[in-house]
Amino acid sequence: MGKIIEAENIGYVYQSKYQKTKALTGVSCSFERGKVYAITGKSGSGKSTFLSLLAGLDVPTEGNLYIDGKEIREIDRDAYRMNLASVIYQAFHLFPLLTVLENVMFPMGLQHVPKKEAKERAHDFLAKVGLPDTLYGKMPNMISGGEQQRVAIARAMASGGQILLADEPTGNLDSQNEAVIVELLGKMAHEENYAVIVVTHNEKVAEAADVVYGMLDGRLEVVRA
Amino acid sequence: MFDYVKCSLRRRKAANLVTVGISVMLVLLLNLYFGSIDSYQTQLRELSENVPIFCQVTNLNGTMGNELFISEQIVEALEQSGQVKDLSYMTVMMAGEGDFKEAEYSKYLNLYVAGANNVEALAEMTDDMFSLDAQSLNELLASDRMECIVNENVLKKRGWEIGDRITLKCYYYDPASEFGKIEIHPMGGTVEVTIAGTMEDAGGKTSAIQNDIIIPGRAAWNLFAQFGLKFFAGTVTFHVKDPMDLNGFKEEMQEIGLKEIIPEADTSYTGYALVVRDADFIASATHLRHSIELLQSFLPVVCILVLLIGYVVSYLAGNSRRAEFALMRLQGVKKVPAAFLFLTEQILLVLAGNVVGDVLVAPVVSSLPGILAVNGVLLTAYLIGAAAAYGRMSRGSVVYLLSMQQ
Repeated sequence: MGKIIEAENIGYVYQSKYQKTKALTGVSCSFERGKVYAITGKSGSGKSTFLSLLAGLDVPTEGNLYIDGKEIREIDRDAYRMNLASVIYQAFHLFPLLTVLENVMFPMGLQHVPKKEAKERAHDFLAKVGLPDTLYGKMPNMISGGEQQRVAIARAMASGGQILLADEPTGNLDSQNEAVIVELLGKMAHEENYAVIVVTHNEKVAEAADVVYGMLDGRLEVVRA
Repeated sequence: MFDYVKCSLRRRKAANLVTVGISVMLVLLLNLYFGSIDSYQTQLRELSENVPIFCQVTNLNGTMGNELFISEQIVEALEQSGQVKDLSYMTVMMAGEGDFKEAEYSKYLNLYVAGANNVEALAEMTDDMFSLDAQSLNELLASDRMECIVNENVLKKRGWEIGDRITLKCYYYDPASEFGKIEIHPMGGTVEVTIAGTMEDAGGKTSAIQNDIIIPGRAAWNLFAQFGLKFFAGTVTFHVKDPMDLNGFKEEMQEIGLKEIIPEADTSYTGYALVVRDADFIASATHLRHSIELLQSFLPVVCILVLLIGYVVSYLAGNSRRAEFALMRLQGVKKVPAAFLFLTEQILLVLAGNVVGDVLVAPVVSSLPGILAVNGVLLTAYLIGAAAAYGRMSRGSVVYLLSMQQ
């Protein structure tokens, strides 16, 4: 299977007015579709910075990062996030003014999918993540954390991409919901053929991954291939 | 994308109401401010109508305003002056009915005749005291027709009727008379006048001398000319046409030959001084000008205040949407469209506030340019604030904005 993401000796330096902080150094790795990758490490080790680079929210200060064979500096990174890569976070980050259903329909609206079709597909995605339809009309603040994270995953599915990036997706969840989300992420990779990259320091999440990387002081190493 | 704006307008009720409410309040306040200036300016413009400046030709020491000798040249110059309006003049003569010998003047010379160019010239007489309607009366007095209005008692006593032509032998007061020794002389012949109407006998009703016969001012003027005499008016009053140009008016009056009152001058019958009753007008105009200047001096402060409020409200509203902006960016929406979306929402709310404010002030403020100016100032203020907020937001890192929400 082809590599959807390939990092070549990338580095990243945070530069403030007064100081430079090296967050990543010489990171080289690759990610394929159909697998779950876990990137573990302590807080401040650089895993979230790496995920931001993979999401195209920033670009490496050193090295090259290829997305589907194209260097990330040369592609439209907004279009990349709209069509190819979705990101879910520990804090869920759903649109607070949109209902559950509208949140899932949102990416399809950006892709100009007709409203009726978007609604039908949103129903399907929400059903896939196991959310009861009684919640579709609710606002995000009216449902539980586990439910919100499932909506976030459904929204990621709705964008129709190939990459799912998750930053501590179970960080705010209890063990029962944590298990559900881990299962869903596995399904995304194995059934929906996504490259799922999860940044976590949760051992259970890492255990469920197909490949585990460890991040230490900005350097990435393979823990389990 | 615009569905998001619709949802936001529908669901952020409290925040949106605050924005709309502040816009309404600012529209009201600005209209109150500009409306006050406009009202004062209107009052100033209409001051000449509401507080007209009355002028009267007097003798040099200002002790007499009636029964004077005011030269033909002065009356003519005032008639032609662009600085004068509502000119009223009246001349007085004596007459006897029919042609009689001069030696018998004491027997026949018993009619007081006045030539007046309008009703205002006839001291203390009003339209309702005449048998003619106001329009016909004024048309007659403004004309040079040899027609007259006769005191109803005189009419009855002499057996005259409306439509009769009567013959009068007229005498004029000699302008060369010494003070206290008025002389009268025959004009030189008789004239025929048609009775066009009557007037009430005002005996006791007014303090003015009751005239027996009134002829049009211009007819009286022609009468003097007919007998080779220089016309003179006994009374001349008028209003200043443009009170805002009082200096120009006074200069022209000097050129005409009218002087300022000299209280210590000798009393005479010659009318060539001018009393200008402008104290009330000047006081009112000065007060209004001061009020306008005071209000206008606050204009920069008001503008800055409005800009500041608009900016701050917009900025705060913009800042409260940072997480949503970051989420949009995370979903792949570009910076400009994302910022534009929130800006559109903000503009719609401000416009709604402006419209509500305009509707509220419309019954009071009739000036469309004023309303547009207020809306323009407010929209500019809000746009600057919103542009600053969203500009700052779009420069920020998405990860940072998301982490702040987290």
